[in-house]
Amino acid sequence: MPTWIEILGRLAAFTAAPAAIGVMLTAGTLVVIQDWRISVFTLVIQYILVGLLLMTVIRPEVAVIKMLVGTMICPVFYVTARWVGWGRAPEPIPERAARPRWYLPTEMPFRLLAVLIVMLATYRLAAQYPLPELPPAASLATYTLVALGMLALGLTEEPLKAGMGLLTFMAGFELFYAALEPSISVIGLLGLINFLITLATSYLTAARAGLGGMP
Amino acid sequence: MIPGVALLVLLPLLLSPLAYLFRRRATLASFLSTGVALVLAAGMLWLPADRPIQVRGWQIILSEPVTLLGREMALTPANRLGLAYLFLVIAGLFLFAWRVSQGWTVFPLGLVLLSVLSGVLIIRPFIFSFLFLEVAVTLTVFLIQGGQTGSTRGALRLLVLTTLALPTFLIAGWLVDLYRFTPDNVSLVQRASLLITVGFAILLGIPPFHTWIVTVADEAPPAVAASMLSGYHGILLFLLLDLLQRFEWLTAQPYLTVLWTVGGLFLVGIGGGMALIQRRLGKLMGYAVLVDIGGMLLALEIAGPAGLTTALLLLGNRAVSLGAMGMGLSLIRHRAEGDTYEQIQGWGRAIPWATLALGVGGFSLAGFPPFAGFVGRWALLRLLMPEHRSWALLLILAQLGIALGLVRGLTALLTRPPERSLSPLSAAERSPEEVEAEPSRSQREPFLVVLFLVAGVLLCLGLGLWPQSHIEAIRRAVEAFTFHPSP
Repeated sequence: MPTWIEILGRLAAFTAAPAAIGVMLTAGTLVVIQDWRISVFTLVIQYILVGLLLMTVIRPEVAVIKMLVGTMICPVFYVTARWVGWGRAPEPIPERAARPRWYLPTEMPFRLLAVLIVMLATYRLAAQYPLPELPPAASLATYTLVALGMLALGLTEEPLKAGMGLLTFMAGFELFYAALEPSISVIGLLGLINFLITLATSYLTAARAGLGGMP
Repeated sequence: MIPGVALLVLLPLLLSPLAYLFRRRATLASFLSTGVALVLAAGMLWLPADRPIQVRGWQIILSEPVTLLGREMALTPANRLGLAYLFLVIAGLFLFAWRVSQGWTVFPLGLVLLSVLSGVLIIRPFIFSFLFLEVAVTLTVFLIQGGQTGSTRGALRLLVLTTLALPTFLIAGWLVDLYRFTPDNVSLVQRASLLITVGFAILLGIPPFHTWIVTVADEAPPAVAASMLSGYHGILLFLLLDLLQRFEWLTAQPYLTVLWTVGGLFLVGIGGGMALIQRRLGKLMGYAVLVDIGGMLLALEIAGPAGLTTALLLLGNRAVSLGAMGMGLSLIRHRAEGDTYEQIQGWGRAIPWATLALGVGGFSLAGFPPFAGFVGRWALLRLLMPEHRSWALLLILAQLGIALGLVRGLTALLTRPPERSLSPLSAAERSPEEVEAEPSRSQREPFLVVLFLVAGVLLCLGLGLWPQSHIEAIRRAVEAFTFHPSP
């Protein structure tokens, strides 16, 4: 009788394409939607989908561990976001005042348009320059996660959202790199780095909201 | 028998919980942390590498490598110098943080950082160095923020840019592995060189990736910023030199030369120009550092040991200059509750030693005689003059830009503020709480802080007037590198 991990591994071959499309939607949602509740929930789904894609690239056991690390990160963001009132705290006045005259509003329509353009570009890139050692669905997901992660970083100075953008970028890169370097110590260190990025950006979120001091 | 590298990694790590427990007792935490850093620095500088050393029945061999999860950790003469530099810089930070708070995280996290950064320099293969560096940077975020609330731009930018650079090194590592199996495929090392160059461009802060340097200098506690901008770039330089030493093909590719030339000139130009127009001391320090990094890159462009000696000289003197400037700025920012030229007006008379340290450190960083920074800049100008006069001219102009920016800052510090600006209300009209909350200009600088400031000033002056002692040490260290920095 096959173990549940073997079942997941076999299932991954069929779910790769839907997972890649799902990843495009989740990464796009993380850029477009500003609501922190939806963002944290979307990040959980994104890690599960990336985990499914990883199963097409590396051993399912390792992919499940990476998926678990990813989903364990999200509660840290949840607790932080809840602690600072889901981002409803007013923006510090000095930063608002420091905005330059040429400041461009980057509200929902702008973000949506930017996400669509990036998605189209990544789709073309994945078709024309498929990444080595990766199946097409994983290649598309890698391009999308890396590009949309960078877009998310470019559109915010809010540490929590920037942290999510950074983790999206890292998830995309790790999907590619896992196929190149299957070493457990590298995978472990990358997992630790993801966790530390989450802690650091959560700390900065709290600091930005005016919550700090010595424990 | 204890391998020396295990001590380097484990000793600070094991003592960091103790420093955390003592976080409310700055004296204990500072002495513990400074002691560890100084002991390790002394070990790196003076202990013999191959001979066993007996400590209370334990035998320690520094050069003995350790294998951890199949990865080797080993000390070489070159990385010993890098580690000694790092330990001394952090020891200075720990000692100063004893009297002028740099955030409660500085002692426990500083020790963990020592451990991780030691790992960066001693681990093989090189992709692990960059993974450890990323870990170190995520920890540095807590130091830079240091419990401050409000803006988080500096820490966030550093984190984002370092993370964006990480993939370039990891993929380069994969290409290097492939090249080992197919040495005829030269395109692999060409791509690896390009990726390593791009990665270093991001990490070193070549424009447009330089913004974190200025923001960290502006927002972080000044002594933390000074240590960070000396130590972090020191680690990067030694990592780069280590890669150049190990991979001959890296020096044969043109990409790094382009980075050193174009990146160096951009940094010098932008740093000098922007330093001139700053109205905040922290930002001025950040832009002055840009010029120094640019100078270091231009020195690397000059082939042979002379260029390398100059680059290391600039790095060492930057730590001293930034140390003095950072200490002075710490006290000024603490007392004036800010560092804009409006906020610091008149404070130079109230805290003269801090003003002196800021001025001496600043002019030293600008490369003016008779201070430490001048020695490296003079050596660099002499190297540049025969073939690159326009570069030398740009460097001189940038130095003038920093100096003029500093003069404006010092003028603000020494100008008597208008009576109105002290307070819009007279003392009689203000509540006692308001009077108490207003920073006191009559309060003198604490004696121990003055000692630190004077030590910083004397070090800047001493290394400027008698540079031969440490130049000889650097020359000996350069002998460990046999590559030629420029193709």
